[in-house]
Amino acid sequence: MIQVQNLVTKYGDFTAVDDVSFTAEAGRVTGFLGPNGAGKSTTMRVMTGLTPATAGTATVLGTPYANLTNPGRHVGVLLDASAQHAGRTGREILTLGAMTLGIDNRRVDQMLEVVGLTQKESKRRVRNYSLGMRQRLGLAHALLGDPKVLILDEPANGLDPAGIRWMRDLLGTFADEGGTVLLSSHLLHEIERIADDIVVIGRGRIVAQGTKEELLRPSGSLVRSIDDQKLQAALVAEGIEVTQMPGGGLSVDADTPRVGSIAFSAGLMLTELRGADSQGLEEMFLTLTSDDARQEAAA
Amino acid sequence: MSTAVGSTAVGSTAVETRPAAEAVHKGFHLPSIDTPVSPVGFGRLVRIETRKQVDTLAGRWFLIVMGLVVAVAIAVMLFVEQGDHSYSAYLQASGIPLAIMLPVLGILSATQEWSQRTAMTTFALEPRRGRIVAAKLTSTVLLGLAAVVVAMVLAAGGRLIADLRGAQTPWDMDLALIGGATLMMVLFVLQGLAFGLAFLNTPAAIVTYFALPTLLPLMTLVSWLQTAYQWIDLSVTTAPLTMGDALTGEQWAKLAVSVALWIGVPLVIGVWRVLRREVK
Repeated sequence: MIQVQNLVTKYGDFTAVDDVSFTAEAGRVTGFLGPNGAGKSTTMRVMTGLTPATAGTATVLGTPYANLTNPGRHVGVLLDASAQHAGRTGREILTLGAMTLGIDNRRVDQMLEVVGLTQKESKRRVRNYSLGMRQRLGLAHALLGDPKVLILDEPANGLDPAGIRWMRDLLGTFADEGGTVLLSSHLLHEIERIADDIVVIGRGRIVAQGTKEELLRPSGSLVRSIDDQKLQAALVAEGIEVTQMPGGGLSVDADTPRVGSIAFSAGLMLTELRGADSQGLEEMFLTLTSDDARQEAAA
Repeated sequence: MSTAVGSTAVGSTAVETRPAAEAVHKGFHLPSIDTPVSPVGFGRLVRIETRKQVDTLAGRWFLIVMGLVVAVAIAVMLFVEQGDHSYSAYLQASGIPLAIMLPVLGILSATQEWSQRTAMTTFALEPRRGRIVAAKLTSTVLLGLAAVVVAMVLAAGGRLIADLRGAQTPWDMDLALIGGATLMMVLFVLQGLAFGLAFLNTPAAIVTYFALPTLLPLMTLVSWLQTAYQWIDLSVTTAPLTMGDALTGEQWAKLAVSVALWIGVPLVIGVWRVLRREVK
């Protein structure tokens, strides 16, 4: 299990991670979704003790990462598949890992087999690896110590569709056996295919989190009005869950006639009202990824 | 506030299985390990850091080239005056290229983690970064000593060939020289590592390392800096180590001052930087 609480990371004036809290449960694959530069990688580096947090805490298996005894035996980490010495062979990288972890070298061959790298490929230098092969090697490295937790930053990057399917199966098996998986991606469809739970981050803040079914279900409605704050208050007064959309407008957990009648009673003019489709998450995501969209919403 | 936190909690609903995954991976299990979890011992880290200096193509070739250059230096000695020199002379000849090249090994050990970004893996597996730095110090000194031993063997080989060709000069195995030269190599390789740690950037560390001995002598042009120069130029203060005589008290003092300045200070800066730097 991974727990992040009120995590803040600042670089001078710039806040890369702003009060982020979420939990990645054991037995589940948690997808960490956000556009490039949203703070995913920074959060993951804080989790693994590579970046100091300005405030807040991150614990893995109930302990700050740096306090784990031989952390590689508990947590498998893959933050950047390209962050390997280009002049080393894949096998040598795994051998160095196995030496650090204090485990039998046979594990190297086992993991090569698990990730589908051949003996011949393992003896080539990483310089000659494709990105997909590096990801497989990185995953083999993360799995070396038989960890309970996997922290993977963009692991599907560079994988072909078959590779993504393979990774989904592998991580699914890992989670089914009780492991915790946290993986990040900037691609919604990738996360949709792999994750059970989704945490969406944008500009350093969590904007949505829940199970995949909850976030993708076609229910509720999207509404915009001349005064969203009043409308939100009116809806909340009726006991309806309301989420502010990052680009303005509200995502409401009620059907359109009900939202319309509440707005009518409150005397608020609606500028937009429609049933939320399963595209809700994608829409929110697109809004996050596009600065232009933010300007449009403000205009 | 432009964004709001979603209303649902992660994992609040019952765990659902992934039918697709199970269908594909029926009976597939990730192999597990029986070995109990043991702390990462320091000896293990030293072994790994030593291995990392020689397991890359660049690292291996660097050592091979270093050996070849030493061999060439000895071959040149064999041609000069029919190779009729003492063992100490052979050792001094092999020490010159070694003194130039060994520090680069120290620099690379420190900087490659950052230029090749392997620090991400290294420090994820051992978050106590000070132990990694200590392991690098140890492995670099060990490699330096190993290089000195190789140089001594090659020098002995050169002298043996000279013997076969009827050399008249006695072997003259000077223990003070051997000890002094060894200490000098260790200091140089440590200086390389210290510079590497301070800069954490290969070109900057190498350029500074090699520019210093060229720039420092400029101090002698300024009259009131001449005395100071005698105390702070490492190439001046280490010179007596290769003379074969025991150092005087003042010579030791000068050596200590220059070592503190060019090894101690960058090492402190370097350790401080490595402990604090964000790894990305």
